[in-house]
Amino acid sequence: MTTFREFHCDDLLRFANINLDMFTETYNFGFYFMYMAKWPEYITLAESPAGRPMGYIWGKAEGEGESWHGHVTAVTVASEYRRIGLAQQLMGILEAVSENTHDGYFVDLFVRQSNNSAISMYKKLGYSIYRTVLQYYSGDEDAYDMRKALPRDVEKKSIIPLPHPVKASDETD
Amino acid sequence: LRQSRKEGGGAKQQAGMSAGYEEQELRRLRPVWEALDMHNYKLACKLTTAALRRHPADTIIAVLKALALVKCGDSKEGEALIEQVRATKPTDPNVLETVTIVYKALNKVDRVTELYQEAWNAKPGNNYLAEHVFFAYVREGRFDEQQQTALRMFKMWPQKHLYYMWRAVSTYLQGRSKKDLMVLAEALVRKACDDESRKELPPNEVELYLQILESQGKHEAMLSALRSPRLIAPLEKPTRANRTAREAALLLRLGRLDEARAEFATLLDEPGGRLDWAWLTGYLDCCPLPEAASQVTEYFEKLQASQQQNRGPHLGMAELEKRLIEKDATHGYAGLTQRLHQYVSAFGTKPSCILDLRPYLLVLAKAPTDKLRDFVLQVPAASDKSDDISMRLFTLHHQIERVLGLHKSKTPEELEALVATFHEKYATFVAAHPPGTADISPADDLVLLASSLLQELFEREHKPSHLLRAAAILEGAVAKSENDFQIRLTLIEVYKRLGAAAPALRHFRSKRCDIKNILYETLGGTVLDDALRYCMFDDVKHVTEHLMLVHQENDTSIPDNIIQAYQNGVFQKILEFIEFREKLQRSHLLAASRVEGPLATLLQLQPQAGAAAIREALAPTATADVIAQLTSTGEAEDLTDHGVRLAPLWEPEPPAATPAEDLSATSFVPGSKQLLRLRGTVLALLAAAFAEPRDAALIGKLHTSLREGCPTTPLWAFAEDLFGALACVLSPTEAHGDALAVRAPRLCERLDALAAELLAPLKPEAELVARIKPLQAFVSQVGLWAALALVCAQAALPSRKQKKGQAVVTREQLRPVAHALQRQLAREVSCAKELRAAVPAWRAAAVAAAGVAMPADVVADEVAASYLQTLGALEASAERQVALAAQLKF
Repeated sequence: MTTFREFHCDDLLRFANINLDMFTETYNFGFYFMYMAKWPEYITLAESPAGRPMGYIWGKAEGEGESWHGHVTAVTVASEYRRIGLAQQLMGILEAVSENTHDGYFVDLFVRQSNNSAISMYKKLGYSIYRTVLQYYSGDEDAYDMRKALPRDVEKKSIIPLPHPVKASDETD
Repeated sequence: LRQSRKEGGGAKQQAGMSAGYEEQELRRLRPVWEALDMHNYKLACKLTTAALRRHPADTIIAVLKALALVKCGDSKEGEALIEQVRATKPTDPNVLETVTIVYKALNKVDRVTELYQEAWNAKPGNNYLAEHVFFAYVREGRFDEQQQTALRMFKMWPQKHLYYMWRAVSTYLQGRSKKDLMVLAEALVRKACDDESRKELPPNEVELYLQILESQGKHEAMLSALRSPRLIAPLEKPTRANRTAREAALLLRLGRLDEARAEFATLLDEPGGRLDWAWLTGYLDCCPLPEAASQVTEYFEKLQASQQQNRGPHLGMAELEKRLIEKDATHGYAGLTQRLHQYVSAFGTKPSCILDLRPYLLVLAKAPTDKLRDFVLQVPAASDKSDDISMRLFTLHHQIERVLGLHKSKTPEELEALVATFHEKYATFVAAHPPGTADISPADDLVLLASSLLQELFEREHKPSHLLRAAAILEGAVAKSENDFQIRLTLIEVYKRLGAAAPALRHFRSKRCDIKNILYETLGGTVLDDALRYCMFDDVKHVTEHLMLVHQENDTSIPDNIIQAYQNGVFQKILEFIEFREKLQRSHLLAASRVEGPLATLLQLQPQAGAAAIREALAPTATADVIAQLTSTGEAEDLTDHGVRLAPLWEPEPPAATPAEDLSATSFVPGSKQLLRLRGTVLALLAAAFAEPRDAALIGKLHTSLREGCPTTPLWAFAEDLFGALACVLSPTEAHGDALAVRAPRLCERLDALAAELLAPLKPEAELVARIKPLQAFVSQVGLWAALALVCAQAALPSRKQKKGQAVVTREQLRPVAHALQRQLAREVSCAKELRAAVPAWRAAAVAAAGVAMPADVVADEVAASYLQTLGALEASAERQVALAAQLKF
């Protein structure tokens, strides 16, 4: 029993039950408004019938040529709404936007190497590890760059794993 | 800063600057920009000063120096330098953009408009400059000028469709108050959508069109648009469902129920599609009840069968039963209880189950109690196992009992027994399944339930030992599940009930919750009132400073994001951004921070600090705008609370907020608009009284506003008389002399009455916190206001040496008031000392009553330390007031 809809500014005043989770970052206005002013179609809120925010996803379209893709910037679900497949549905919505609205080649995301439960969930959703990005998280932890090819990438070239890790400072897309 | 420079890059090339020149400029200025980015403003000043010595005519260096000066706090010199640059009428984009940054830092965005207007006048063919004139108007919110500028730009550069849309949006924004302009905006956007020369229609323009129609209530036109062949393609991005869902909702609003139902069914029948709750309830909305009940049941059963793992159709059945009961009270609860049992069987182990059930349990709660008990008995719970699933079902059983209100009828002994069971079950579970560092234990809800019951016991028996036990149990649990913010928030509430602000603030500051940015606006209110009332001044300062930063960002950054939306063609977001910004500007918490911050500073001022220090304390917020907002009834009523309540999921909603009757409350209390107006007006009166030169007329005006709509609370009446007396002294006329003769004795009476109520001796049976609050109310309001007002009156009154016959208002008239104040302030100090001495006995008694040795002991220590901190601060403030009052020589 979830309603999925576009994230509105007013939701910033209501999402505390999601953002008090210590792994969910609360950014400044500049971040949220920049996304809403560029990619409103990429930002979705899951809401309960009572209007309680359940989770959200933020993303964007970026890259050039065959690197044109959708990127998952943040996906998070409130602790009380976990284990009901909400993250999977939010990811599905973002993938549909990347495929149908932006005609991207793939979708990618970054995840902490230590976050085994998230990595396992992304694998179930069809993502694979494309490369390791060294010291991506404020220099204290490496990240996996995980990707899922979209139909436009017929030969699935975008997800062929890189043999060597890259430095966070060299990471471009 | 570096980011804003990078973003400007493309635009500058558009303005005719070569990439090579850009590179060279960036290299040359890099050290200065780096110093600014690193907030090393002194270094930036040094570098620019040296560079200017070598190249005195280098405008960009001069602007960077101005920026460094402003950032260093030398706004005056920075502004003078920037005005010198502006006098040269610059047109170089680098210079203009940097000057813009300086004006924004100076909060003078109107000058940015003039700056770019002058530049465009100098180079009328330059569309980069034209765009920035438009953006400058956007920043100021001058929609009319935006529209005129965009129109002029589109005439000059007709190939630029974006300029056409900027004109349309600017027209739309004015259309909110002018109907003819709304019609014009609709026509402009419709024309853009109909333009067949454009191969692909951007979805954002279609969204804007629908928004304009919606704002006029043109639902039929919206439906036509949704079905228009040209608009279908952009509306069906990313999926066809996107358009169908809107069409279905619109048909429902138009009352075309059969068509709407068919559209909702199309959405729900999509193979593998999601069963969005809005679609399920939309389908239900289309079905007349009770006539169509069996049809709905059949349809939902079909959906259930096709998607068994989906919660929607199962709960849809409960929703149907709820609507049937609401429609006909005789319908009975059998259907609802059956659906809820089925739901528990299918999804009872999901953490969200109690939230899903809650609206239906609240309906069921109206059924006779025996039926409720029967219902609960059928919810599986009696398992001795301590595995995850058994634990969740056991918890759910008791959460349901709580939502149904069954705990209300239990005896204290029964509640105590439940608390013991929950605690024991919790301890067994976490011993077997210790939560990892990042996890929240499924057993945590049991601890929260135990805390709910202990708080209920406190409400019934008023024994603080119940709260101490709740705090001890919760502290034990949060030590294991450090990331469980719900436990921390509950602890904050428990400590607030105990009047112990220090441990409440410890949890609020926890890194695990990581409260920052906008969360200060939504959660700051949970602690600010108690932090201030219990004199945790550093925490009040910390939270309000962060809150101010959020609002500063609202004022300065969001206009830039609105500009971004124009640039990116995301037109449908522009009005939303503007309205959000305006909404935040009407924040109750912001207004309260502006009032309470300076008042708290006054409370801490040393008596010898003098009038200059008082003026300095009041200066940040005693501006005309703030005074207008705080003292005008209309504006105060317009303020809104954005606080969110995050109580455990099964706890009942609190009754609607009522204005605080507690005299110790601060204006941070949500909904305390009268109190905010009183304290805001007192702040403004003090600022006007200590201003140089003193503005007696403003004091009279503020005092009149204090009298308007004056509620009959003793504190308000006291303030009215106190500042009425001050107004008489500051505008000495014969009439005022007579008025003071009436006011002064009344003021003495009011002062004595308030002291009698708030500074009463400690009764042996009284709860300690119940005595701290009145003392605080006296110290932070009565004592502080009276001492400062009399100091100000003394300075304005003629001295004894002057001839009596010449004065219409004399010191003698206020002498009894000064004596009464001196007498009551002495009582204030002894009251604080007496309460401090009583803290150890309170601690010992509370621990003995709690009956739990170690954890309650530790919690009691922290609570007692918090009381001592509060009383220490109150005693110090009281002593400062005594010293201040000792200077009064009437």
